Amino acid sequence: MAINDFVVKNMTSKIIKMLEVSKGNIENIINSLPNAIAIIKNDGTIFSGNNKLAEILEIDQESLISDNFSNLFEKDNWAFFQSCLKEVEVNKKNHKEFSLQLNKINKKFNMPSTYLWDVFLYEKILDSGNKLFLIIGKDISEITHHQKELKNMNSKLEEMVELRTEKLREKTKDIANMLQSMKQGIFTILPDKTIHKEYSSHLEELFKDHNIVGKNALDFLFKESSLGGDKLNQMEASLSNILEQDIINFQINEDIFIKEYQKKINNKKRFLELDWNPILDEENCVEKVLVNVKDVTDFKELQ
Amino acid sequence: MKRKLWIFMSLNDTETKEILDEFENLIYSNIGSYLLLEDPSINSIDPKNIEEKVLSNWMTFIFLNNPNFSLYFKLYYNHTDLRKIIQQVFKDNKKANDINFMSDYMKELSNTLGGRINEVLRDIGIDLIMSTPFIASGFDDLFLDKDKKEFGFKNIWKIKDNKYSFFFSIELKSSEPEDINKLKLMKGYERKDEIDLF
Repeated sequence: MAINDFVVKNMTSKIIKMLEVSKGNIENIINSLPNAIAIIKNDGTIFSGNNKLAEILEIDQESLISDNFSNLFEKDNWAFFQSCLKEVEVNKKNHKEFSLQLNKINKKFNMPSTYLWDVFLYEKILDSGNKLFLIIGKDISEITHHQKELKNMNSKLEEMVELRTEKLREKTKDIANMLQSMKQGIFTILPDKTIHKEYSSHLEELFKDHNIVGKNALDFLFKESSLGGDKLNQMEASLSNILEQDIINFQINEDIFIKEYQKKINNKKRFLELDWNPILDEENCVEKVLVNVKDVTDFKELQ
Repeated sequence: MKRKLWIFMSLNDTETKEILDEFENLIYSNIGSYLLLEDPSINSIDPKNIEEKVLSNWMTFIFLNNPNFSLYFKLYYNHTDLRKIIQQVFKDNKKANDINFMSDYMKELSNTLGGRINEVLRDIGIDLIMSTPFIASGFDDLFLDKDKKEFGFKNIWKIKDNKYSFFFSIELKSSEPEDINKLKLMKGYERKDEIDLF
C-alpha cells in the first residue's frame, strides 16, 4: 500500500471512530431518557426504539424491531392512535399531542398506565414513499391517578355539601315555622341596628305594623314609649357598645337594657317585656342581638 | 426499463445466480468459525420480501470501490447473540459486555471478509480500494445514500445454526455493464471454513 493510501486510510479510520463514538453518546442519552421514544410506521412496525419503550413492552431493547407498537394498546385505543398518525400525515401538521391508556397495569397505582403521546412526522421517508413517525411518550399515570382522586374527592365534597344544605334547609324551615307559630315577637338586630328580615309573624300583630324589615330597632321598640330621652340615649350607646364587640361588653351593658316598658300602639297603652340575647360569631363577638318581645298588658291589668 | 434490459442482456438469471452462489460460498467459508456457527444453513432472501425491514439492531459495513465499480458488504447482528459468542470465545465477562470490544470484533470480521472479496475480484480483473469497516445501527441502513450507478444487483442472505442467526448483504453497482459481465469469471471458491483465528 502506498504511504499516501495508508495515511488516508488511517485518517478515515479515525474519523469513523469519532463518528461512532459521537453516535454512541447520542444513543446513550436517548436510552437514558425517562420518556419512551420510537420510530414507527403507521401499521405499528417498530424501526427503532429506546430502553424505556422496551421496558413498557416488557422485552429487551434488541427485540423491539420484531415487536409491534400496537401491542401497547387495546384494539380501540390503537385505532385511535392510528387515526392520529393519519391526521399528522395528511394534514402535514407539525405534531399532535394526546393522552392514551396502555394495556399495561401501573403497579404503583394499580390502574392502567396512561401516557401523554407526542406524534411527529419523521424527516426521512422510506423508499416506497411510506412515512415514518417519531413518537415520544411520557408516563402521566401518577397525574391521572391524582386527577381521579381529586375528582372522587370533589364528588364526595359535593355530596357532603348537598347533604349539609338539605339539613340547613330543613333547620331553617323549622325555625321559620316556629317563628310563624310562636305567640311572641321575636326579631334580631343587625350591626347597623336595623331589624333583620326574619322575624316572627306575631311581631307584626303585636306592633300593628307590617313594614318592619330594615327599621331602626330602637325606634321601632321605643317610639311613643314611656322612656325618657336620657334612658333612650343610654340604650342607644349600650347597643353601639355591644354590637360586633366581644361578649364581655354585652355582659357589662346587660343591666342597662330595658326589660319592661309601656308603649302606645294604635293609641292603646301596652305593657311590653323585653328579653335580650346575644348571637355570637366564631370569635365570640356579638354578631346580632335576638330580642324577644312579650305583651304583658293583660297580666299587668289583672295585677 | 433500459436498466432491466441491460441486466438481462448482460447477465441471465442462471449467471446471476452463479455469481451470487460464489459470494455465498466465499462468505460461508469464512464466517462460520468466527461466529461459532455449527454446520450453519444459508438461504438467499429476496430483498423485496424484507423491503423496509430493519434486519438486525446493528450492522458492520465495508465498502470496496473504484471509479466505475462499487461493492457494499453489510453484516447484520444483535448484541445479545454477539455477547454470548464473545463470552464463549474469550471467557471474559468484561469483553462480552464491552460494546466497543463487540464492535471491534465485528469490524475485524467485516475487514477480513472484505479482504477476501477484494482478492477474488482482483483475480478477475476488478481492482478495488477497500474502506475501513464501520458500525451503524440497522435502522441507519434504511437511509444510507443509495448508489446511483446504473448496473448491478443486490442480494441478502440469512445464515444460521440452532443457536445464532445473522444476515448479510452484498450490493454490486457499476456504471459499465462490462464490469458486471466480468463477474461471470468468478468461479470455484471452495466452501470450507478458512478463518482460523482461535
